[in-house]
Amino acid sequence: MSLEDSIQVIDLGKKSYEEALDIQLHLLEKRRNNVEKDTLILVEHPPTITLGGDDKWNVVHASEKEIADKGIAFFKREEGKKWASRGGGAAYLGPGQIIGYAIMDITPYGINTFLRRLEEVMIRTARDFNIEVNRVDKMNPTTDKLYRATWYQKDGKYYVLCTKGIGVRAERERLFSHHGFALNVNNEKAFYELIDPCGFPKSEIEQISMQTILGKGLSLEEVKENIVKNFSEVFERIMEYGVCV
Amino acid sequence: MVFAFKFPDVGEGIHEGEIVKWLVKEGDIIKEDQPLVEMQTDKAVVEIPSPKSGKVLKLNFKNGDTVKVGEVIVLIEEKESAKKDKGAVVGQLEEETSEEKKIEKISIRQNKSPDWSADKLFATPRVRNLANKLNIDINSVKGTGKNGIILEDDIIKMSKKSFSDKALPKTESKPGIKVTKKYDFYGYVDRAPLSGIRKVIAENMARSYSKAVHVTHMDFIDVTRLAQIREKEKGRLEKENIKITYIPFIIKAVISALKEHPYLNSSLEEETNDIILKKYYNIGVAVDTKEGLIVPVIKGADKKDIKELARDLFNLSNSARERKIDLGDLKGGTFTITNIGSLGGIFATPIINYPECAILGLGRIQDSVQARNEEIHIRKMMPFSLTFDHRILDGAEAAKFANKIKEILENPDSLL
Repeated sequence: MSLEDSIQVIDLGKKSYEEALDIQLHLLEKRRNNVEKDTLILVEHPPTITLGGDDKWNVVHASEKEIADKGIAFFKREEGKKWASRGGGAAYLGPGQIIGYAIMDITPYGINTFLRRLEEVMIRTARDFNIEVNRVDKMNPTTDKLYRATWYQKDGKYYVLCTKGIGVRAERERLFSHHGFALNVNNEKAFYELIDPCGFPKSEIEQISMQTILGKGLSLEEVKENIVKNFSEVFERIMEYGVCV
Repeated sequence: MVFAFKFPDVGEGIHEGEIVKWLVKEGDIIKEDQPLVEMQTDKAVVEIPSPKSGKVLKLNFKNGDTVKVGEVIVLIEEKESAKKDKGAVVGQLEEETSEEKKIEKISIRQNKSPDWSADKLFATPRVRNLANKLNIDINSVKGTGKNGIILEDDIIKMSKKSFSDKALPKTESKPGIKVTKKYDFYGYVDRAPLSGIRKVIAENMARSYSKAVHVTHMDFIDVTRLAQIREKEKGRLEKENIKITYIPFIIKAVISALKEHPYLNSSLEEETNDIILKKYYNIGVAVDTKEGLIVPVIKGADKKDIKELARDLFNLSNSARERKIDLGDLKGGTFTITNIGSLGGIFATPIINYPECAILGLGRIQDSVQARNEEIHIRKMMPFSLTFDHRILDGAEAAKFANKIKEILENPDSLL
């Protein structure tokens, strides 16, 4: 399987993080064994907070019970539970958001280029709806390091419109990715009182969705189509819709 | 035997990583492929599996430590018995799910394949399987991976090679003897191989010239006012460490003209006889490098202002010259600009960067005596040569396109 092969797109519709993780891990094993193509999963999750692989990045202000009381599922590394570490810190995922998981052999791209291209897909998708997001390096107070991310900026403020965080399995000479990105389309809630997304405190950033910026809700299907189109252009690969069995 | 596992090179630009979490501890018995450690780089957590089965003797770093590529992170005592001992596994693999069992079965089957243990070649079971499937003798494959490890690509390349070997009628060759003529009928000669970028350029140029019907339209543009604007911008942008040439302004003008004349931003799809009119504007700019001409592409150039174009151009040309450019940045162009005047010269007949439809060659800007309103003026004139594919459009359309570029660049204030 090579770069000339198409990428299959699997639209899972609405599915829990746990179910989607199962599918991710399943596809990852198949991809590693070269019996599956590169895959882009698109999915919408019920309210969920997930943690990143590095606890230094994970800032959570509430107890698990408080989170559960708000009807939000909580997912962290636990003995006996399926888990796959991704980069970045605590993240809120929820209805109205489009989540993309890329299960790909990223050896030809390399980790940095792959991340930059994921960013580019988000930038172009936002631009398709006349929203400009920019790549800006911002000091992250939790890790005390410059943090490269894409921001929507208005009146000097930084807004999170899309996030990314991937896990990579480095295997001998090959790199396989999982997890990916999230784009805020129609979601209003962010629950930044419960977590510092990617380690940024609420005082420094705010959440925003395309709906809020444009003043009207968007069709998730239309945005997904744009994501797939941009994924194709940015990675210069043909995209094919597949079904998950 | 003790195996020292070094932090592997996980790709471009990543020289070090931070250990997020060890997934094994000293004394653990581990299996090949079992996740050893998680490392953090940028926004990726990289899980690194063990290349060997055995006992973990020593972890050289602890959680939170930064490790450089090539440093030994763990010592593993290899044991023959450990490979077969399926019971003594630690951590998350202890409770295998059915799915993991399935994979385990696959790898066991692969381990039993006769090739695997029979020789000393470095190749994973998967690569060996692929070789078996494609009927490739793995012993004949030269590995291009680290330490000569054979990669899937090596097998695929070999299979393509052996396929084309079979497809071509064999010419008689004597193994081991290569005759190179040092002279021809008229005298002594030297030979230089056509390789690397030179070879790619040769193939692309030949393809373009044999497919597209090249016609070149030539004219001059009065860039006196543009030169003043550029001087002003230059001073302003130098403070931001951005070097600005004429090209960003020309890109802007070209895009406006392309929007009015969309056939110049198209390509001909021969299989369907369709002209594909592209609704995006990716402008390639030819860069002269030591190895030959490379054309990095500024993607979405219509969405960028002069400053962004200047910055992109600077970064792309630098990475092209340093041979660090991402392959993706060399693809996807819709129109190309080539500066033929940097070394002198007025006009040229540029070859289209196929399958694009047109290419704009810029000559050297020179002070020139011009007659205006029956007076003599000294103006800065830029010659240009626009080559287009006559299959897609005619000279009239090309001339209108060229006139539009001229009009914009001669009245350039609106470009800012």
